[in-house]
Amino acid sequence: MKSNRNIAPPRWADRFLAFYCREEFLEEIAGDAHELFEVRLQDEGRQIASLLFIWDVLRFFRWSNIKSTNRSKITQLMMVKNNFKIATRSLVKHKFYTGINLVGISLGIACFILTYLYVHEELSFDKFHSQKDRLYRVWIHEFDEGDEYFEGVVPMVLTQYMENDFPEIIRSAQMQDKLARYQTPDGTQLTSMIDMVGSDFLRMFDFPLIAGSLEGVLDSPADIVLTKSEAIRRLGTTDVIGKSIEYDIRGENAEFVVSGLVNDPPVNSSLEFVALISDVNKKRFVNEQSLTSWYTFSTELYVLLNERNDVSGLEEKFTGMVETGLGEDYEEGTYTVHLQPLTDMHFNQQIDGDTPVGDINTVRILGLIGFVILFLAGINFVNLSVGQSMTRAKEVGVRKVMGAFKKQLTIQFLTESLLLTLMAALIGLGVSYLLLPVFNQFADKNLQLAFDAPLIQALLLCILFTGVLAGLYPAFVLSSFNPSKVLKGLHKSTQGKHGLAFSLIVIQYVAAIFFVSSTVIMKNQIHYMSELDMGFNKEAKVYFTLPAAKAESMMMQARMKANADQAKVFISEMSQLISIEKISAANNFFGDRGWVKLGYEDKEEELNYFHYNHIDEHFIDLFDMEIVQGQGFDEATTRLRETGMIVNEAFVKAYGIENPIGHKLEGPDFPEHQIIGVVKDFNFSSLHEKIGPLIMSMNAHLVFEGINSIEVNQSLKSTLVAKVDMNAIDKFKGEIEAIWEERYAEPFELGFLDSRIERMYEAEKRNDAMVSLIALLAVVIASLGLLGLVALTVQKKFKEIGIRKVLGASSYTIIKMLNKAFLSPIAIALLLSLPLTYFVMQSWLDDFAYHININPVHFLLAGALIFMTTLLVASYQSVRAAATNPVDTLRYE
Amino acid sequence: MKGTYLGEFEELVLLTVGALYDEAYGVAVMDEIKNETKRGVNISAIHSALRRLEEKGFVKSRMGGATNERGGRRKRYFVLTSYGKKALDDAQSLRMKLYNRIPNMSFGN
Repeated sequence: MKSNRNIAPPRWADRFLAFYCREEFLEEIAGDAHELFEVRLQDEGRQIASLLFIWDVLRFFRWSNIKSTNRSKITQLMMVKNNFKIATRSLVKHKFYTGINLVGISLGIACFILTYLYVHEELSFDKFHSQKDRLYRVWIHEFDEGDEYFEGVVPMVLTQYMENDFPEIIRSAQMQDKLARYQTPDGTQLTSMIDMVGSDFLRMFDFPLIAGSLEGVLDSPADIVLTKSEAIRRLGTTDVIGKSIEYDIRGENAEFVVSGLVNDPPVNSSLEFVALISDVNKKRFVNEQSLTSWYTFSTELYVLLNERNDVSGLEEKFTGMVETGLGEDYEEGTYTVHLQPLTDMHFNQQIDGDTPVGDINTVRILGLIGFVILFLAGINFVNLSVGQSMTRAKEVGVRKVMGAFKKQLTIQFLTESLLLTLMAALIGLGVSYLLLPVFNQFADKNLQLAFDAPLIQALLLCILFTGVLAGLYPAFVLSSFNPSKVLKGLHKSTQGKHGLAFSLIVIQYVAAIFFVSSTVIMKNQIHYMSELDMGFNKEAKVYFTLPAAKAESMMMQARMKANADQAKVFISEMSQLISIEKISAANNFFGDRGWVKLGYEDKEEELNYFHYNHIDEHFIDLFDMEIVQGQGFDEATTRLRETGMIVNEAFVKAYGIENPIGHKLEGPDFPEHQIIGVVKDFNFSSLHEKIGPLIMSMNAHLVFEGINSIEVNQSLKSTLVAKVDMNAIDKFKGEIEAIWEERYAEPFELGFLDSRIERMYEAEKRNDAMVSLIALLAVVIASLGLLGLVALTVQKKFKEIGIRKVLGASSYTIIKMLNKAFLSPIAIALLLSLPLTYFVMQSWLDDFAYHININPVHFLLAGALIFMTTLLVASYQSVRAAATNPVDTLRYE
Repeated sequence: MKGTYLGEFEELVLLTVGALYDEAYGVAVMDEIKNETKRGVNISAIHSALRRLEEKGFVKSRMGGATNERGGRRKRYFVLTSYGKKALDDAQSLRMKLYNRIPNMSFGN
């Protein structure tokens, strides 16, 4: 037994107990613990006894047993409650300033929340795939006839090589859109985009099955995986496994059996689909050429690499594959296969794929704006608190005399600002909820306000950022007052603080003026664009596009000709049935992404580029275009219609042709042709680009024989444009629709040319709307701040105003005196914002080939606007001050 | 004084203190409860309960003398107060009152 006596419980546990335990309980507690240890030592051995001792010590660690080592900590804990009480009282007492701060900061926070939601969604694109770091899209870098292409859509022939020939690739899957038609029970024709994917698709990407089994889910030709929304749309239920569903793909009525159900791809997914079918169907739904050609780009292709994830090594290996595949067409460096990380897809605007792409600059700018607006609101808080410091000075003095430390005062004022921000955050949340639909419209998004981790993070960040940053300065200024001076009434607001308030106001106004003048400039530019003479008449025109006609070959001129012939037949049949004032057909149309661009080598082997459109004889007349030299097709002989071309002035100018009529292109391979007319320049692409050289002919053969390069951005289907009486548009639509339905299965769609052209500038309009909104916010916040400051100054100068009035000053002089102080920061801000606005807006305007010039008037307008607002805001206070009876202000002295 | 509500565990501790009469200190109470109820109790729970009972005035305590055991640390002994006894009586009579109202019938198995 004696030996056991010397064995003690673990010393650290004993010390820990002594460390935390209250003096008055320590003896009994330690005693009991030790007694238990001794008993257990004999019964159960040393180890168990020690462990149980430690356990006991930990269990004794209770609130009631813990000693308070430092009394002041307890006081501080109590002060938290007190701080809250004082903060609430002071906020309630100064309702006016609290109101200003609340409105400002909650607007700032609402703005921050909205931009945060946007930025967060954009940045989270495709990050939800668990294997995202090893997933890549295959793309092809191709040089062809002097043009460089970044193809995110690749030939289907590549798919067969990936897994088989490269051990680094664990899985690969293609993804190819297929337009599928179906009929609803009531007979309406609708379409869905179905994707034909490799069978490993669902194993590579995180689109988990909610019904069905992953094993063999896309192995058989009849398998189809539906998204929830498509399941409900088509079958009216989500209990769909094993049910059959029909789609019409490429004219073939295909029946599928549902083998799986997935949730709709999230909004932050680049890969979008409504239904998936297996690529074992490819022989059925893809033409022979697409399957075997190395030059027919038709599918997206994704690969999953092994753990080594060696991209550049693999890309080098691809060279061999391309060399064998292209055979004698192979030329080093002109056709290379690369891998693009999945997470790079959303913001990469260079590689041209099927997935929608975002703009990283918009994300950056919006993110910045969120912070700027919040910052502006924070400035109000700082200014008002410092301005109010006179009122709080006595409180600080008394507290210090009673023994408050500077730190405690700092904490007190920080509590106040955090409390205010917390309230503002709640209001801001409500405001952002209300503004969300509007914002979604501006941003072309479908954001949701959901209480998930990112939003809560954003809010906390926001509260801390504003609360601490805005509260810190006043907290330090107020807490550093010297009590003896303050209580004697010697405290004076020093010049330095005034300087700070002044410069902060200037910053606010620089931002406000910047946004307002940007809005003015943007609105001017948009107005300019809508008023600009496009060189053709877009009024009272409707259009519809015919389906692609069957061509003799896949050659471009054959397709153009087939489409044009079809349009001709349609027009002539239509004219027999209904009376149309004017109608014309062309393969390229206004509002397209740019007309076909062709190039030919001249004698010096230099490439000459021009745009081309295949038109008919009424085209120029229909759009009221002006023939400046020669003749149009409508007056030309049949022979000239076959061999003639009409060019625009830009063409004549670009190639320095002196006598355009009768001129011939200098390429060696062009058939017999000549220029028969020159049309006045008209804008056939967007206003972002200068008008380029253009050739129009009624015979595509003329130009296509001799060209060396083709660049096409859209289909070559014929679009028919008719001039109509807008009052009888419904009748017209009905008549044409009847003719259409006799011939085509496709749905008939009639569009208006002017609205189509307006749609081209939707992005600009959205930007403008967004900037206007931000400008409004900035002006509101800056005005609020100014309102508060004017009020404070008026309060301080109450007696001065009284004395001045007694001595004979008129109300007018007093208003002038008060307002003058506030107009000078605005004047300075106006000057400072000039270069900033000029620089930023000039670079925005440079993106348009046709743009207005920045004009001093724009700034004057913006400045005047801000000036008026400020004057109004400031005058409200100063007029009130000037109108008070001096008796009231001076009586109690 | 806090509320005089007597929790189930508190009642058990209070009874034990009464039963042990002059020998009731932390470990002894714990052992007694362990023996009587076969219930594993941590010593810290006993301490908390005893302290609560003391705050409510059901027990009072004094420090014992130092011995060679437990490294010379003194024990805190608890004794039942008359108020505590009354609380136990009340609890007991309440229980009996309700118990007696259970109808004498067969709980047929």
